[in-house]
Amino acid sequence: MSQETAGSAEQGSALNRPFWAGYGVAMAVMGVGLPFWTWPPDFTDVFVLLAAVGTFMLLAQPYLGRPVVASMRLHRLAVVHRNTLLVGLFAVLVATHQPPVWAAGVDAVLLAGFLLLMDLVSIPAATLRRLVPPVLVIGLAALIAGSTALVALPASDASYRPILAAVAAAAALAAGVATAFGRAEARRVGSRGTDHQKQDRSPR
Amino acid sequence: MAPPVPPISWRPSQRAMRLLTAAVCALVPAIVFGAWWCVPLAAVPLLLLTAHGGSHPARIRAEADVPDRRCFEGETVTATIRLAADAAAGWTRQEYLPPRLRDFHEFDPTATPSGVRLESLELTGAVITVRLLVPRWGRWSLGAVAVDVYDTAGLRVAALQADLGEVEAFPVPAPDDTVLVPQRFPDRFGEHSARTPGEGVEFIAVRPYVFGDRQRRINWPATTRRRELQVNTFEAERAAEAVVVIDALSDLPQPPATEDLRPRSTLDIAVRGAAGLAQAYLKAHDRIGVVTLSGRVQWLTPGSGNAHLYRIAQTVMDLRKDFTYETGGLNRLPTRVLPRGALIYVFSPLLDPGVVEAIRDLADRGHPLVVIDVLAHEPHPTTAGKPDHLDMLALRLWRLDRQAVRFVLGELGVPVVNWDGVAPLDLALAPLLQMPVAGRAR
Repeated sequence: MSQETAGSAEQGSALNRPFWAGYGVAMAVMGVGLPFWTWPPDFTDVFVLLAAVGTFMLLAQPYLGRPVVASMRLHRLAVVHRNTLLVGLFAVLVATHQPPVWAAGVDAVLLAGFLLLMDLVSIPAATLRRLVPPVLVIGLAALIAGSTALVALPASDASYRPILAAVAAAAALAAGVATAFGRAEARRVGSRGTDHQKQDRSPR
Repeated sequence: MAPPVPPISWRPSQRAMRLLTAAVCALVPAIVFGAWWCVPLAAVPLLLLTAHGGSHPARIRAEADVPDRRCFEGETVTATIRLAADAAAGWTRQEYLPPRLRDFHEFDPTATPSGVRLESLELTGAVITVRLLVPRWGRWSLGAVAVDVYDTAGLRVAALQADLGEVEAFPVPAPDDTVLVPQRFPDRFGEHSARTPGEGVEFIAVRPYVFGDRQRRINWPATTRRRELQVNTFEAERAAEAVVVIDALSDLPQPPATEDLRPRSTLDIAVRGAAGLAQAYLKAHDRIGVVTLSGRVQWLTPGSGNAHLYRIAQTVMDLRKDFTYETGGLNRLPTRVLPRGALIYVFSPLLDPGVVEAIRDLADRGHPLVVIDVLAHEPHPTTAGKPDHLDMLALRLWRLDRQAVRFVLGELGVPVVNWDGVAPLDLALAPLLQMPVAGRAR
């Protein structure tokens, strides 16, 4: 059995409420596409923006308790699964309108950042180093860059297409290599990953 | 041989649900509606989901052990929970689950409704150590510790629960050295001087010698004066018998004392005072018993010795089990519970009419009685505002009712003393030390 616990992050997250609210605001702003609005905006757009900001500020606060609800009422479920709701709502909000390519990249970075930050506050540090090693972070960055370049390819200018294709190919290669290295470390006999698993065995 | 541990069920963790939701919510518009800009959104959660193939144990066992299930109020109970698994797991998250109880915090809104309070919860290796403070006497459920075990990828979770069982917290006896004695003692050797001739050391008088008197008891100066043999007579030494009656029919919270931070109620004060009296009597090699008046009448016949104090505490435990209570009629006290001539202390807030009837019954049986009123504070309006004339009228009626109860007890010849549980019990009983407590003639 592992010796790690995920209790120490709870005090820290309570102190960082403004940070999480700010992150939620950033996701709401990018989700509704405020940077590429046509001005003056519609009343509906402003209403959606305000609603998204208010909702995302609340949903971005990390839930670090046990996923247990006293009753199956919707508001209680929403409190416990608010971070899951946030990532789903964000993806749906982004899907409702077509952003520029750079904005699609920023959206992906924001979502990846939120998922990684949630892992940071909810998983013990030693386990997190094993789950998300630097190689995997590089792979994630490459994946975002590569996929953004790929999706930008059909709509791009002809002169930029070779560059975008090269970026996408390099990113895909980097992501593949990083993933392969990450999985190989866990599979290799005598590696730190398997040693750690053996040491975790408790007396039966 | 330990019973086989059943396999536990694993379910998706919140991390898995987060990643899966993000991936699905991005992929569905991309595939169905051709929203190509959602593909980068789905790439990261898909990679995080597939980067690690998590493994988890098939069987996990959590064994709780509480070495000391008896303690005194105000002490800390330590429980250990040992986790054992047949394979590696990722990490654990543990949480203390207090027992679900009714609210009991009129004077302290921040206090937990449970009788125990969590002090610390630590994980060292595969052992979880829980320290729980038991602030007040009673029989308390300790609650449980929930342990969430995650797999090595953090994508699946299994929940275990280790029940910690119960603990018995004995009341800390109130400091008391005063032992009241009845006018008539039972025929048992002891340390108190009875007002009857006997073999003690307290001198009473001289009398003429009769055949069979010991020669060493001849009082030679008196013999010289009266010109016939005179002998000294001494008081007999007898053991007292006492019975403490605890009224648990009403239990009112009292404001906490400034120097004593333990929770206080009329029942707390009564039980601590009863324990103090029992300790004082047992120290003087007397016999003491206990009767508890709650939904049902329980008693322990008088006894002596150090072990008897724990027997008394054990009897009192049944008065408070997780703040639950029993209702019911107060029947007549059984005769064999109260030895003839035993001195009876009644700890009561004098709020229930049934107790006044019980005191009248005891006085009619001829027992010497002392009533210790443990209600130290008058009730106040529950509304936060300034008391109005109706509140004042209600308070006046309440005072008149209390005066009427005391008048009835005075007419019965029963002394009533006040004790708030803060001052020593000796001070409250001091006025009764001037002479032995007498019962009514039958």
